[in-house]
Amino acid sequence: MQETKTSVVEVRGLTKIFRDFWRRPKVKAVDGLDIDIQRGEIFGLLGPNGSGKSTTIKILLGLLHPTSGAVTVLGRSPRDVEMKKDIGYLPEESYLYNYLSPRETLDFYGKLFDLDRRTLKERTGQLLDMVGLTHAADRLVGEFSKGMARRIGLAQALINDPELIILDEPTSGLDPIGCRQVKDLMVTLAKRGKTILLSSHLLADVEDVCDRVAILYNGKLRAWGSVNELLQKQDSVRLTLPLQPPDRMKEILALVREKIGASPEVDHPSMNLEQFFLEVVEKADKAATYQSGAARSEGVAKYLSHD
Amino acid sequence: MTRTIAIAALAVRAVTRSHLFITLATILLLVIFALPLAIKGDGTVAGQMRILLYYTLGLASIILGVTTLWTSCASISHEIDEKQIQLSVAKPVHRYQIWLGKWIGILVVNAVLLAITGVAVYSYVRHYAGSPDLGAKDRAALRNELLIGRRLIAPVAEPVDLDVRERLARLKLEGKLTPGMTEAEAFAQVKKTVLIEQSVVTPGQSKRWTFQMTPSRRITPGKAPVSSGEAGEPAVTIHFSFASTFHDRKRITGTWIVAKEDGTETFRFEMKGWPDGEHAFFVPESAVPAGPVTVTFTNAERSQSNTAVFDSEKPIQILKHESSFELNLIRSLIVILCQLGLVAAIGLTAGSLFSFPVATFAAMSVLIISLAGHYFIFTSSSWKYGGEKTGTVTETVLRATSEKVVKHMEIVIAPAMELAPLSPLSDGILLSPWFTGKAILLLLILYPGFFWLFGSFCLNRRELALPTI
Repeated sequence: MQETKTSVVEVRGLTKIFRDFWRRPKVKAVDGLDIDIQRGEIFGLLGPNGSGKSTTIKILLGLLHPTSGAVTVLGRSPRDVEMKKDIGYLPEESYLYNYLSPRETLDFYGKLFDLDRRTLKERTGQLLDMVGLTHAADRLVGEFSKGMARRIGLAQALINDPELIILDEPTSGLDPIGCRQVKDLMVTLAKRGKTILLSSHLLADVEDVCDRVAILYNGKLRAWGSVNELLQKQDSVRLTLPLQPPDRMKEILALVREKIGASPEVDHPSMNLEQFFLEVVEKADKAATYQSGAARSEGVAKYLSHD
Repeated sequence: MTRTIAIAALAVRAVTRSHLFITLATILLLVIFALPLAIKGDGTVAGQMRILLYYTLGLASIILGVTTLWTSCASISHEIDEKQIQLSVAKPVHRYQIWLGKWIGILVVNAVLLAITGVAVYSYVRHYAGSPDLGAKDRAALRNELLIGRRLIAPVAEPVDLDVRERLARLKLEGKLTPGMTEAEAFAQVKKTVLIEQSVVTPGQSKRWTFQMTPSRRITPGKAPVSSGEAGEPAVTIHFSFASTFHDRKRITGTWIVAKEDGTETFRFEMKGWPDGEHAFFVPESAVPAGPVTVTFTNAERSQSNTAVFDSEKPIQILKHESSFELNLIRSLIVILCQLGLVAAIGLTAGSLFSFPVATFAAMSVLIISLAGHYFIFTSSSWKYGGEKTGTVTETVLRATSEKVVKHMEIVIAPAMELAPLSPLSDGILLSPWFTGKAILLLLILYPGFFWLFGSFCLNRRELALPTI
């Protein structure tokens, strides 16, 4: 049976021109953009700085008005306030109030979603635990490092258990552990049917988690499709074998040469630096007794990890 | 409402967690306790206290007003500049809720600071009034004239319209009306002349005013004011001011008689007073019972040049004790809070439209134009009688437009300007519930309501994530 996919975000012919004081066109930040984001997918918006990623996101949130084109988010206009009940947003910088503690920050944003006191308390505790800041819950955000503030930013974006999560450069400023956790979180949320729009110029992050991507340059859509489709070299195949004795290896290579008429490339698969780093930190973490920065959390907040 | 309250609580935290709150509270307390040492009064204890109340509360209001303007301008514009508003607007919050929440938050902070100011002023006044250095006369003066809430009762207006119409018709016939003046303007001018003529009391002549006294509505227990000579008996004050036609200032002698409707005399006061000053005498409360009461002044001078001319608009007033100083002070503080509420509304609206520095200049301009409004209105009303209006078509159109603008300004500004609580408070004049209610209605609901709608509309249309230059 084929699953029917519904669009969570629909953008048709979106154009945004920034004007100067005298209303003269200054910059065309987005130029005739068309995208569809389906329910339950992780959609990556890729592009270099100034390519129009953040502008598109801000239009989706009603923070900017399109010059032309049509935009619907969760079936409604971006300026519809009620629609925002189901959206979580992490901006490219955290933009938090320095005079609030993480607990007060989550309490404030939770109240903007009209969450009841009990739910708010439960979620605040779970989110602080998830982002590893329970021990710093009552310190002022102004005293935090960029990475710690980023973690609070992420927590506030999830306080309402949103249907659509818009993450603008979510791993910016995070250490590799934090980056991995954010990526794991995205995968977990997508499994629960949540839709995630990820904007980033860190290609590895996007490649790791995204189902589909759109690449923007100078405000225009240059490429789009599933990550596998875009990255796979359809004209070649990689074969991975257990380590073989040299004699047998020669036999195998000879056989392959005979069959395909060309020499195959041979190398040893290696883990990437991220995986190596995580292994080192995991060992060190087990031996540690004191923590001043963000702590290693035990996983995703309970309310975010089950249906 | 939860969202608005959350934003209000955030605005309160923004102020209380900065140095602003402590600094402001300290400055206010310094003003209250240090300013009295720098002010020299008119030599009387009541005068000194009157000036103290007026200036300390006045200066505290100015400090709070300026701070409120600055805070309210920054509150929204700074959040837009710092981009924190982007997170709030991405939540299910209407922009009018953001405006309203900020306004409530600023109002709460002002209410707390005003309460601190009020308690400090009250403590100071009570400490001063209870000082053992004060004589019995000074204490009585404070109790009778200042630490009290006295209702102002004006005389019943005499019907003069018939006289005015007759005189107007005569002037028209004689062609003596100022050219270019409208019918209404001419009527107002002639009426003013008639009233001035009726305020003149030549030697040997009498002038009578009628007051409609209501039963005593004293709502606060405690000692009623007493006249200095009749300890223990409640008294009312008859307050008047007059000028003299005598070219050298000379005291005028005369007799004041208070009588019931049937002519029965209830009180008599022999006066010998300097012209061009404020005068008052006490009358036992029993002498001015409920119902019509007449007060007659007879000029006892013999020289024709020694004519008394009473103020045509406020010739004489009866001041009757109705409330306590405490209640009056609380009402004054409420009215000041309402004024601060309006200032905050202007600042927030400016902040919704412009960046912080521009918003501050815009809000200050609105306030200055409003405060100077009375001057513009006065000046423009003087022009009206300045002779025939001539000039080019452009000048005529400009003049007509400016007159219309000033007229509309008057409608908006004048009611707000009348709501000044410090002068009556420092004169021991009652700030009635109606006065306080009018302040709440105009300065806390109606005008801020307009700014709320306008500010929310502007904020709603504004793109909050435009690239900064």
